[in-house]
Amino acid sequence: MWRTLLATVLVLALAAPGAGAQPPYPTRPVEIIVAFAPGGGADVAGRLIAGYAARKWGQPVNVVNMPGASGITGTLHALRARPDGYTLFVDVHAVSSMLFAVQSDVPYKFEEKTPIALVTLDPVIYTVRHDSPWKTLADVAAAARANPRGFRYALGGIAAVASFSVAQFLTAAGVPVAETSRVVFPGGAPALTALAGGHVDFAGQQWSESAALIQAGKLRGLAVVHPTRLPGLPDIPTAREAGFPGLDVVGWQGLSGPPNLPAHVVARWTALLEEAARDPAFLEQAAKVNKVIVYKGPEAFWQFQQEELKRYLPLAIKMGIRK
Amino acid sequence: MGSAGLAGRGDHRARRPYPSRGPDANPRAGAAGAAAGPATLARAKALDGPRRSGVNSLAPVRLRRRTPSAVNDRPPPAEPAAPAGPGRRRARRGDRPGALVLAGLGALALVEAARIPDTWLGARLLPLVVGTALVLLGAAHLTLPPTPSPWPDARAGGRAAFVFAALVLYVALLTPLGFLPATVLWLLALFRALGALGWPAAGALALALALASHVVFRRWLGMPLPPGLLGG
Amino acid sequence: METLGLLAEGLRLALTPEHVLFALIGSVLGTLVGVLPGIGPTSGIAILLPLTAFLPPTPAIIMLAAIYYGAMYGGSTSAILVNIPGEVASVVTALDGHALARQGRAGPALAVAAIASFVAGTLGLVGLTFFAPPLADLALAVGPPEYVGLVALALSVVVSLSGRSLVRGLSAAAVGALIALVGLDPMSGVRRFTLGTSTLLAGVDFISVVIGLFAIAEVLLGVEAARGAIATTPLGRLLPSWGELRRCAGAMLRATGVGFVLGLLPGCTPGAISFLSYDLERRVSRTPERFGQGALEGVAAPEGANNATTSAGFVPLLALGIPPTPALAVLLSGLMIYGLQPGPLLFEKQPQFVWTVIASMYVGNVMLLVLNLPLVGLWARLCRVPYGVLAPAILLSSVVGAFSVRNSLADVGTALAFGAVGWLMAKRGYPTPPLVLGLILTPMLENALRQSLGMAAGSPRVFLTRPLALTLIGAGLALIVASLLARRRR
Repeated sequence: MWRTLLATVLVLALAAPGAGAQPPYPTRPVEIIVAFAPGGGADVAGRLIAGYAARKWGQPVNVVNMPGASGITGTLHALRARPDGYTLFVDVHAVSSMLFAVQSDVPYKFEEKTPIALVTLDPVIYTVRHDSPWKTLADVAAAARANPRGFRYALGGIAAVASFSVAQFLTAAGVPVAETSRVVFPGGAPALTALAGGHVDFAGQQWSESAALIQAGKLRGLAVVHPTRLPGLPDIPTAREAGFPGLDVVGWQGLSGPPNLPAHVVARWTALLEEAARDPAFLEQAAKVNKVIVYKGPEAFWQFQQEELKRYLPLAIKMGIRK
Repeated sequence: MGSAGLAGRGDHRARRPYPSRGPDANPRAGAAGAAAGPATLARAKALDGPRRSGVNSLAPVRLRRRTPSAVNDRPPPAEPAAPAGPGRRRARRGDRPGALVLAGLGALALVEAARIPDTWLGARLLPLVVGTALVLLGAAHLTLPPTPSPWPDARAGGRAAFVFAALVLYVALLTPLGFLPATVLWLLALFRALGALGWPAAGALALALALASHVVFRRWLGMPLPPGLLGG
Repeated sequence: METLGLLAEGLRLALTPEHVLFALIGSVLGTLVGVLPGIGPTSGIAILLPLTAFLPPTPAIIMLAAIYYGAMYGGSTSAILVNIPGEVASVVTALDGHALARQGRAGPALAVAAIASFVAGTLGLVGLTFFAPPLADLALAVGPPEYVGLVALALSVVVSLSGRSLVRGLSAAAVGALIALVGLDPMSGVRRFTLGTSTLLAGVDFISVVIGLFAIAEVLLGVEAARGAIATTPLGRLLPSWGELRRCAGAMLRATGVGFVLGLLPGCTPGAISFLSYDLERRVSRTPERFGQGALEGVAAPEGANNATTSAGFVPLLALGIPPTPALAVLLSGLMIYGLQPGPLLFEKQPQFVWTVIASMYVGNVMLLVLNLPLVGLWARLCRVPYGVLAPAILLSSVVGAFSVRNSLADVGTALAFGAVGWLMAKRGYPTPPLVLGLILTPMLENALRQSLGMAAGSPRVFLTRPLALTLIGAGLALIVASLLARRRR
């Protein structure tokens, strides 16, 4: 009996290396860090991605929230983690292109990461109160030009989409931005709440933040910055239709990892995410949480971010928000 | 209702209704049982029931408790022992350490306010306001009666210091050792040091608590507690 | 009354076994999550959010909502027993609640907390049921200048809670304010008081400060005093007497009012609401000196206010899609995953869903009362466990709790540091509640003030043109003056 056992062991030991050099990544749970509080845009995107990956790969993919310092804390933590593919993070405009446009002393470098893929877009919708006399973007532009000081708009944070979306619009409309009344709120939700309450007159937040109030009838959407009209909001024209074709600020979320991530990890993720972008069930799920799915691979993603930074830097300086 | 003495393992049942006194009474003079030193009194007082305080009500006060023994307590202000005669006017007034600390914080705040690259009505506003308030309050400390330092005696203070040091050490060791090992060791040390359990019981309870926390927080809730020596 | 009909229908559906089961699960989980410091309903709901992939919307939302209001029941338990406020809003409960526990009266404290939570929560739900849409619109009308007024009101509480020494109390509040300023300023993006490190960039976490100041410092003081147990006198009766309950009834009703009205406002922190409710109760009481020493009304008021606030939070959420607290924001994303957009359209298109969820909240509150009251005896006995065993356990939960807020060891460091600070404050005669109040109110004040100035291009005239703001600021100042005068009279 012992000899049989020994023989079996020997056979197995010899056969094992041939049976497959290494199990494919991932072999244990993966952590995706979301540097923002649960329920927000980045968190929703992260959970979408994590849920899909966990289902496809059979390994747990956990979202870990590490809010703080407008996203810098969590991002820093992820960037300092071991580049073994088991700690990644949701890359968001607010910790990437927009942040570097606004702040000159971020504790990490813009290029100090491994971009994996762009996954979701969150288009900007310009909104006013439902009973506002302004019915089109042109009305708003005229009013702002006539009385810049009396033109109050809400921003949901300084390194956020709204800073740039509104600034770009005002610049395109020929309004002297420095003279307008800017009211900053700690997030998109309070900003839009203030708009609905009539404490400010205009806002340019993301779709996921604005949809609820628009559909509740408290806010009126004037234009959406997207090539096509958004599902669920068929009455809101695109920026191009509204007469402002040059507007292109958009919120986005993607996946990135610490610098020097192994190529095979990146490859696995890009394959998965590319597949997700074509999966109708995934697209439907995303639409329900007001996100548009796109896919950009690592190089295209990085290119995208660099172009954004080039666009936003002068805008930030002109707005006077660059520190 | 148990012994009325102050001796014992800390399982005190002393419940002495102190005579109600007016606000200016010196708590040190003549209160019943005041012959004992501050530490013993602290022990006795630690668990007593509420005192009836006869003072005006709008500020919840605990005049009777000499040493604050719970964080929520509004602490006793205690007047210093009154200078005995007209010649003794040199009693030190003012809470100098407090004044220094607060004014120092205020100064730091003001310096930072000036450094901040924003407008005075923007990010600088509140540092300015708070800094000014701190400096003024620090100055106001000089008019306060000095707190009689109710520092604990060596044994009591040593106990507290030991527990705090153990806590700091534990947190420092969390990352190198990992949550599970560090917690077991630390709990074991505390259970033994605080004298409540023998070795077997302490060991068992430490292991049980640490394991339970590990399972609930790391496994179920997915919190990234440091794995340390145990790997991923 | 159409609403009553809808509610009745919702109740019928909410009482089906499946929905009752999920309400129960949510309530129990919520209580647990509330008891544990650091982990709040926000994380609890976030962790269970993936379950929405497997469950139909109604039971899932019933469960998640139950976690939210269940957490308010649990938060008071740890606050009363071991002076660890499980929730931001339970800090005030700990003041009188823990004092009662130290006197061996944890039972009545816990019971009053549960009953007040039930009464206020249910009455709040009535408000939600009948008045949601108009209330939501009213809430929108409250803007930054009015929030400044609310902060002015809350500042008067600092004066009240300062104890014998106003200077010390105000100093504590100012220090709390300073701590709140540390970190990245969200409105302008500049760093403040970060001493060049990136750890401080995220600011000082409020819960960690409270854990240190209350729980850790309390343990240090207890160890120093060689306490035998939390309560060294034998436990008295486990439930309050009818007389005591009757005296708390007024407190519960007033707290419901305050909690509900203020809970409608998205920008008002729940912690501030419980302080305001406590202070109101103290001012109307005929024996205010008992507050802070173990007054049952001092537990009934904040607990009632918390639960009324929780119920009120659903008004802007369901009627407008605006979540007033982070936990409700996660709940909102849960709703969105099901494609349910909150707002008047939701009430129109999915009445069954909405009313079943609302009805199940009534059921949930009853369940929580039934769950918590019998446990009072069990919890209260914890106060007799030898301190040498309980204290390390308290410290362990403090460490894990501080870590769990942002998954960061730095927060644990904060808790430790403030444990030492709390001990020092106790020795030097500084009251801790004002520090907490300064810490909570400062972000609210700063936002409101800077936004108001932004609205009026830097001119303070914005306050003069808004009657509500003026009234609130005036009331706040009046209360401050009143408190100061009353101190003079001593």
